[in-house]
Amino acid sequence: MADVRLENLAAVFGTHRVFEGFTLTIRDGECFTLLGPSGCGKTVVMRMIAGFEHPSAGEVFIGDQLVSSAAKKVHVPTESRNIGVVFQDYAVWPHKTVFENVVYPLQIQKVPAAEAKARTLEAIAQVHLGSLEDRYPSQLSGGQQQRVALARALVSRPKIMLLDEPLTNLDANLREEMRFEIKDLQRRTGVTILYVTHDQEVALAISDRIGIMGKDGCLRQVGDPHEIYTNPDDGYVFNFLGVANFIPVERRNGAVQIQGSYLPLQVEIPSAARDRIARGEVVAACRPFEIDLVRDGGATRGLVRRRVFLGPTVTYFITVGQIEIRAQQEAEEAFRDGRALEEGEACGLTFQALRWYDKASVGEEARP
Amino acid sequence: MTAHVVLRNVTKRFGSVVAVDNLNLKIARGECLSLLGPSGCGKTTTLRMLAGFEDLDEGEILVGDRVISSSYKNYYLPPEKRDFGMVFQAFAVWPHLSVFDNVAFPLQIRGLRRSEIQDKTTKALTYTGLLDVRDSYPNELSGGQKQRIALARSISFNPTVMLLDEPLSNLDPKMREVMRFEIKELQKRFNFTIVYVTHDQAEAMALSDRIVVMDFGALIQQDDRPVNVYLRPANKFVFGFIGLSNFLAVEVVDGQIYLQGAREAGPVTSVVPRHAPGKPPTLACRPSEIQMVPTGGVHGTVTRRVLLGDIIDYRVQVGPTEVRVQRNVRKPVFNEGDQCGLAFSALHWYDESGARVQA
Amino acid sequence: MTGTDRKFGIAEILLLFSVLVLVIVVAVPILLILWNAFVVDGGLNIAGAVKVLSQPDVFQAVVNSLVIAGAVTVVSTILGVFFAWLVSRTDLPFKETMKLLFLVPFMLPSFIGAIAWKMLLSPRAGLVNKWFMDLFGLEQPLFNIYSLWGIIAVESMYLFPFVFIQVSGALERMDPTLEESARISGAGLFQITRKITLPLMLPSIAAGALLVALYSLAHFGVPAVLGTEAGIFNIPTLIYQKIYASGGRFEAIRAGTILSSILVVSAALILYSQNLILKAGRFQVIAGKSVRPILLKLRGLKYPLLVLSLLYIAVTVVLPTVTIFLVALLRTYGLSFSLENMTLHNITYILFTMKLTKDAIWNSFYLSLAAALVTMLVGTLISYVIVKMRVRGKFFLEFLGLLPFSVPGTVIALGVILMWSGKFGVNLYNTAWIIFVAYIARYMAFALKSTSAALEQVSDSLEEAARACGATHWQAMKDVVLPLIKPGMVAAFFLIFLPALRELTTSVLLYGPTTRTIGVAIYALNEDGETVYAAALSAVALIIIIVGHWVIKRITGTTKLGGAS
Repeated sequence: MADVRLENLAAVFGTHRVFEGFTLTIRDGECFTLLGPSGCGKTVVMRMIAGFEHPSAGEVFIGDQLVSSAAKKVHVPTESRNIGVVFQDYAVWPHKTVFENVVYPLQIQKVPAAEAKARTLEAIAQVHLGSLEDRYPSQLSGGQQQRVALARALVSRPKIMLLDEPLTNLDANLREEMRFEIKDLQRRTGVTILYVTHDQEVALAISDRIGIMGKDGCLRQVGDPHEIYTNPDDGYVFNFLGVANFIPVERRNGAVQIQGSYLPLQVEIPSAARDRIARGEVVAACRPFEIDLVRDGGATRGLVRRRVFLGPTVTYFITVGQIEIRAQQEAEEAFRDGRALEEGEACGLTFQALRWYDKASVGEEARP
Repeated sequence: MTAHVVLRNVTKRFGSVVAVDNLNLKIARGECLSLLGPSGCGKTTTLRMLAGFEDLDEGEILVGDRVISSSYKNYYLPPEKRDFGMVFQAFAVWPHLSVFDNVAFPLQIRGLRRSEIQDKTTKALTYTGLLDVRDSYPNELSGGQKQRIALARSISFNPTVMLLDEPLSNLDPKMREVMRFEIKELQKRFNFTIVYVTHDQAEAMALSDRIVVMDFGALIQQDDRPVNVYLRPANKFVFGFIGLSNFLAVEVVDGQIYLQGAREAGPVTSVVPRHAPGKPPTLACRPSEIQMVPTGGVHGTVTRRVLLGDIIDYRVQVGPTEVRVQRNVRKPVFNEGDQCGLAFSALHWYDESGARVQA
Repeated sequence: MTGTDRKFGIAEILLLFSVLVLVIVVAVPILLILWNAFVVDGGLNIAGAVKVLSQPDVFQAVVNSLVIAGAVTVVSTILGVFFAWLVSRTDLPFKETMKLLFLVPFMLPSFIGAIAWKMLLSPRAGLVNKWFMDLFGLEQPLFNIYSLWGIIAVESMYLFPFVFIQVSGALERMDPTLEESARISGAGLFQITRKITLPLMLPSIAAGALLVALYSLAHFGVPAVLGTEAGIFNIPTLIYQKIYASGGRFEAIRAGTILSSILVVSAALILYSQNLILKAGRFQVIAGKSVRPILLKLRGLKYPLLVLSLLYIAVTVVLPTVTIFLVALLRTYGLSFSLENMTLHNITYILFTMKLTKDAIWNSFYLSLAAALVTMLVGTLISYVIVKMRVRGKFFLEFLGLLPFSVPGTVIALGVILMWSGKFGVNLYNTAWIIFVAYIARYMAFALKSTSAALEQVSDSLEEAARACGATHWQAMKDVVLPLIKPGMVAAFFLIFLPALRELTTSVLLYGPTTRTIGVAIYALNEDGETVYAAALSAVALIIIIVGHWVIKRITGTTKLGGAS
């Protein structure tokens, strides 16, 4: 097992600059997810670690070995890096059986036949595909093919495993099952994993640490899932990880109010934020479930424009001043306790907690 | 209710398979009704019979007082004469016609005057937000816009009934949310009756006035408002189809309900539903309707914790049973290996045939 | 895309090799033709070219080519669309059988058909004409096959499958909801066909029609058999006549190259238009899931139309084929078809005794085999460079590879003559080699298309996965890529072998006394008046072709091979 060190990595193709100055250390034995939108360059990072791409600048270390360096003209080819890769389209070879697929790395390494067979069958059993080793991929479902890819990546006991959106093509139920299996496998084998995806749900579910990449290729925040989710560094990360309300505020008559409304915001505002509010540099943010809804009273008043029943929760789109805020109630609370609000009804909102973020860090699409 | 659309004893067979088995349904004017069920349950076949693309093996379909399909009289009003609007899953927008010509097509076929066509088409385009792309061609537009073209085309001639066949499945999740709302708005404005076919329960719940949950053979499992279908599922099938579920085996001892094989964990409830001796019903409850408390409740051990964003998903082991619980992330967090108590706030009971049992 | 960590230079070497091959085999012959046509004594001489073109026979040949191609295209399109619609959109019975039967003309060489029609409708001796004149006691034949309309009719019979295949395929794959949504919008069946179906079919119709035009312009066999007698020449037959009549004199070659240039330009224009039409991406109508197109109920017309279709097939396919076989069994041409006049002697003679035919069969087999093998292998290599390698300049390779598609067999033959008749120190004229080289040039594009399609199916991640498992670039090629493109390579092989076996257009300009091909032999026998032997060899050729198709179907499971002769 090994760690992975990326120092000042750059990917510049002609005039197309994907990212520069990318520095990251993935710890030995951890499950690290690189999370970001399509086109941010996360797959390029993975491919550089794998050796499919040459970095335009910077260095890649696997364990203690320098495997790629533009400046020093070092490039250890993929086949010599001892890695396991699982691709988005599984890349399971259709002309080989499950067994032949999984044993391939061992054959290349010239492992003696008896040992190779034993290790292959063990890997196949580990991914719960025992008794299917003589089938061809066309006879297997998507989830089963993905497991073949996993077994094949693990059988050679690689130092690190790279997974490129492996679950995107599976249906929702299978996705849930497979991400648990991947996590389980990792715990049992202790292999270092780099998982690349745009799906924040998967990232939050399986990672020891997450690194969030912006569309510009910049690493915005790195930390453990719970930490990142509850304390995002900036508006971009906040918006990426879940539904976000961004609320523009202004100072008026000595109090802080939501733009266009007439009641002061009754929340604790940290002093550092106060000056920045006055200068119009920050915006308030909160999650829909961090707002309490009542019929009468409440810290701020608004009007229910739309109500959507989703099952376990009810979502409200509430107009406050000139902006629209999303809030939600548990279905139980709404219908059993009779606290549901009707469309067109006036209501009161109380914010449990507000964060304050630079306006600039909030992307165009998210701006209110 | 003065029914607008009526299906009476409708049956359809394909070879030896009964796709729709004696379906009876009444839809009110201006209602948005969803046919919800697994793939292959017969909901699309039902819609196609409504549209006139399939004949009936038995039964009849009426709109207003007029019979439009009847197996008894062997009478089928052809689709082009039914005056329905229809939106298909893959949009079915004609690539060789501009947006305007697509939307104007039904009006041109009906032989309206040019000025009227111009007028109505422009209205339809305005309501669907397509006015500035009227001269573009479909291949230049996104999936959401193509679906809007399909919508505009179906409303341009002011139909009284709209048939929608999984119209949002080919759109990405964000677009789906937007389009759901737009369809609802259009319905409010024009007051047409909607029959909506989908396998996505969240979509059905968000959009419909009434949901008809179907199993294979188009057999109706429940026909009710979304809130009631979610909070009071009529049977085990519906419970399992809508939202997440726990189905737990229980045992009854001294008038108390315990999770099977976990008597030491403590009772779930003392309200025992009626049942045949020795055959207690299955307990069904939603992960979001179970509270985790540090003391009291049914004792269990947390075996898995997964952060899903604003929800944390737990697996709690109670004796031989694994219970799934979901809590909002701002509530106190339990770690794997922690002890906890489970308090069940909403209990549903289903007997071995899947029928609902009153507590 | 893999390959950035290759051993230095291998990719460049392969690219260079591929370019070299294509330049020598494909580009140079064509350039030589254009050079020969327009450059005299080192200077551009357009005026001279125009002068040649205005010679009455040359000009007439150009006009004839255009007229024939135009008429054949129109007739084929009408036939193709009608039958495609009948088979795909109505409740005509026995559809699968009808589809297969309509595709038969695709498999059979049209010049053999022309010979059969000659036997049936030549003004004096044609069997149908004789029967007609005897029956009604007339002096005038029903129809003189040695005419422009004769050529047009026969070519149409054999080329309409191009349109048929395109249109029926498109009709069957079309998303039915496109028509259903029109229906629910209020349109009846005829309105739907007129406003929705036909416009959406236009690209397929156009694609098929343009292919027909391309083939007709470049076609030698039918005009040679039916037109030469009446003095009707098109461009390929005039080129042939001039070169053979003159024995290789400069003026004749020049006329040939000028005519060829016209062919090249028209062919390029046709392909360009086809490209434009296909690129009009608006017409993305293919449905992903299994489709159920709405079928028109023919009711009263059902059986009459079925009879019409069967009649059509009987007249255009069965009649000529049966005629060939019957004549092949006649002791002497002109005898009536009675059992005592039948013999197998002709067949055994041409197979085992007659040197001309024995050589021809042997030549065709080994030339086609060799050409198919070499073209397939080289084509695979070049495709790999185009599809999978990241090297600069490979678009040039793509261009070179597709060039031969637009170059008719006659032109390639002429170009090959110019190049390999001693100009660069190598003289292959009158040897089998020159035919071999011409075949490679002619069919390279087919190999490239088939193998690059197969390579594109092999996604990069399959190779990369092998690399991640520890395999080097070459191991990955051997273990992953090669096994997966084998079917494509096999398809390419047969795509070249069968058409090469039966072709006439190219080898007729290149053959020497010992290097006749089957096509040339049949043609020569027919020209020399040895009708029964021509028929016998034709019959043998037809059997070989049918067996060949059956074998291929067993091996690859496809039947869409043919048309190139």
